Amino acid sequence: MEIFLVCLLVFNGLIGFLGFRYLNKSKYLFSDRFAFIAALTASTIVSLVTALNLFLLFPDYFSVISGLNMILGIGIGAVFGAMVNAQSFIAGLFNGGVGGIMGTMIGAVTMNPSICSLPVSSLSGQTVILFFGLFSFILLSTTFSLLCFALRV
Amino acid sequence: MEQWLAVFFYANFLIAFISYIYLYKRRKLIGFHLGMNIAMVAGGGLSLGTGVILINQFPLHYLEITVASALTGILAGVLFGALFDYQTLLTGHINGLLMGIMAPMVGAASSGSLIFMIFLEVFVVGSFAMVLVSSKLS
Repeated sequence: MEIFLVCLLVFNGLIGFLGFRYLNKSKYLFSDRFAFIAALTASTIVSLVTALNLFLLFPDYFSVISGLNMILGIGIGAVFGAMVNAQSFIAGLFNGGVGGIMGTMIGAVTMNPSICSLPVSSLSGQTVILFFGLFSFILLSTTFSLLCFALRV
Repeated sequence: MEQWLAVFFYANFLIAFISYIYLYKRRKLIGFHLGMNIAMVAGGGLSLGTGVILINQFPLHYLEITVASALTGILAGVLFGALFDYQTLLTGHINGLLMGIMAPMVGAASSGSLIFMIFLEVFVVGSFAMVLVSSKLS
């Protein structure tokens, strides 16, 4: 199961990197409004998916992984937001941090449903990890295809 | 009493459908700044109501409800955002996704409290009513 998660993390990082290069190549064409929306969308979804995968990979070290996820999300948001100007920088910074915290929360509730006072479901741990891994991959690819299609419309 | 709360689930969709028809007729009169806020309110509010009510009705199916609520948010955000512009579509998509993932946790943490559900329903209906009023005023 670790091999699946590491492959998924590598694929998700690759999609994020290719999307960043595709957006960065044409950053001089962006208006102010599109720069804001691109920074918000890209930093939120990339930091959410990365934080979810990292938490599913190391579920035992909560305090380390939650801090690492937040710092990683802020870094991703700063990289996506620094393409154009100050307002997209602030939007990317804040939404990247929010996405990191939210990904940690989803991972924690997924691994242990009783912290939200839910009954423990009959599914095993591997089914949950497989399901949420594929779900995060589908979400990331859908969002980035919509975002990169915006340059052609 | 608890099973009557499922009526709110259909009431949310009915209100969203009515406001979609109302906004479709006057979509040329609404600027993009209001359109972005309309897409965020519609996607977030509809997925929040859907996730909270579904997790109270079926507490054992956490995974399916997360996917259903996220898909509801994405579809509502995309449909309401597509009335105006491509960038409002992107904003509605990402906000509906985030709210839809978060909503089952809120519903599970509230653990079926009746007064929370009633206040949430009032909040969602009030948000849609404010959308209609602000589209009338613009």
